[in-house]
Amino acid sequence: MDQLTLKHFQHLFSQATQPSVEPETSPTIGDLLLPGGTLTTPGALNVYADGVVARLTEALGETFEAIWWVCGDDDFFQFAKYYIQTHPSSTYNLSNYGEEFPDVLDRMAPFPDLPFLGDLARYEWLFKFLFHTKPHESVSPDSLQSLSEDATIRFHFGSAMRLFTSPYAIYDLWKLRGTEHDGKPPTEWDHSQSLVLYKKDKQIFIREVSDAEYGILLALQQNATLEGALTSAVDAHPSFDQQRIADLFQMMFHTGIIHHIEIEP
Amino acid sequence: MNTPTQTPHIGVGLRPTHYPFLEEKPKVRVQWFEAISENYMDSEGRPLDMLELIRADYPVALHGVSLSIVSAEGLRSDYLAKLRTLIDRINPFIVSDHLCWTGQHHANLHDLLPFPFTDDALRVIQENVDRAQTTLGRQILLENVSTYLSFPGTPYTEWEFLIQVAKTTGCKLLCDVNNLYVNSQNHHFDPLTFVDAIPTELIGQIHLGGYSDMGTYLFDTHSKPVYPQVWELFSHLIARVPDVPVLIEWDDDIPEFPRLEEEALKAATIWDSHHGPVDTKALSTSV
Repeated sequence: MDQLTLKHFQHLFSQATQPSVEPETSPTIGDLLLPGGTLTTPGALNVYADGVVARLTEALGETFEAIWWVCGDDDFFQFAKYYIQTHPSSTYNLSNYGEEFPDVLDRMAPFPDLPFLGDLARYEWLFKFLFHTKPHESVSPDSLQSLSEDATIRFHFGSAMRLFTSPYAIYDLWKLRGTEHDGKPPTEWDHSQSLVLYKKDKQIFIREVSDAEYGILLALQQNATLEGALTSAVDAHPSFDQQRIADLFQMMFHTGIIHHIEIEP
Repeated sequence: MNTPTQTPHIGVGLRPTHYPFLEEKPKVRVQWFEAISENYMDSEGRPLDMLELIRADYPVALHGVSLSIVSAEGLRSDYLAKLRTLIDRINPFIVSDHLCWTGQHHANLHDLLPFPFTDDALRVIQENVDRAQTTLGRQILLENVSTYLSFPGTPYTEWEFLIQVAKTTGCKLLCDVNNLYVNSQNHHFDPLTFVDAIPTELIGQIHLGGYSDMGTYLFDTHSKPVYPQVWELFSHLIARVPDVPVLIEWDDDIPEFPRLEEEALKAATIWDSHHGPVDTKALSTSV
């Protein structure tokens, strides 16, 4: 054993216990170890291999609670197993595991009648991010008074604010997680939903916005000028009138999503 | 912040399930809390708020599960940086992790993994402990872990290896009596040999917890009360090392806080029987 370096040992041990879709090969590490208790050698290695799957599955289940709720135990565990086998964890923090789970659900498309799974998972990942994110400083609502109509204005949103949109009613679905259902989510999900998620006073708030409002917020987030964002929105949504623009401004300042305002005379 | 002027003896793990209870600032009879470092390193959410709330009134130890001090690939810089930030924020009276590795950087297994007790492993650990203690700016404690396999033909027993690690790196040992007992049963040795071999000056903290009997081996689950055999070993050990903090770990099937506290007070009673009364009077929020 002393001839085997620690590095080589750790490589062999990882090979023997890392979940994989590859067919199992006889673990050469087995010749080097003595199983504990009355376990067999494969049994002792399986204590560790099974533990990896259990811990990573638990981590996915905590983050993607609504996916688990929609799919049920058997299917969720199957998706989790596939993900774990194909996506080794490279994070030190177990709760940060699963970033690519939404994309994998998109690619797998396991249920043709539930096309929203990828977006629902993406929303849950976003929610987890916001939960752990530090709230940002917000500009004062008084800043609105000092804005000149002639200036070039850009709004910069805070780090604890995210936009989300989907062709499906993701927020309506997510709100129902944990309730009983008979295999089909108990809500009309086949319509689009756009959201602003933000953290204020250590609380996470989710606000549904119209397509026009989402378009303006997205343009501002992408560094458009205020004038440019509003012009594009009104062109695309002629019914988006002055009153609705004023309401949107009020919402932006009330929620504290603006971190700072850039003004060029 | 409450900075202890003498060793706080009896503590319990800070777990999310008890946040609502502790948030009300009840009078409790444990003297300190131990928080899992990783639960707070990447968060500015409710967990960190709770930790700071608790820290305002009690000494806190930070106990990690992901340092991977036995990693032949070396320690992760991002992990050390985040841990240092948390340490600076919380000012814990103890910082600890486990004498194990947790996987490879590109494929973390997120488990407390066994390794052969060889000179090569000792050298790797010496380098890693030196880097950790330098980066964190303080001494760390390393805990003996439960294992379900061992490596015949290595030059050290587990306790000999632990002693070598502590003596050659300047770290201290977190002696988990439950893990020690689990290993004694899984690997067929007398647990008293282990307990009596560790020099008292190397022990900086003691853990107690409950294992699960899986039929073919004992499994470290922290899901049950401390077993009588483990209490006996604890009594034997605490008679020699009076001035170390003792913690009850309960991580699965976690009971209500008063039941957890009751288990901690059993440790206090045993401590009393050797050294006189532990100060377990109720600590109010104004401490």
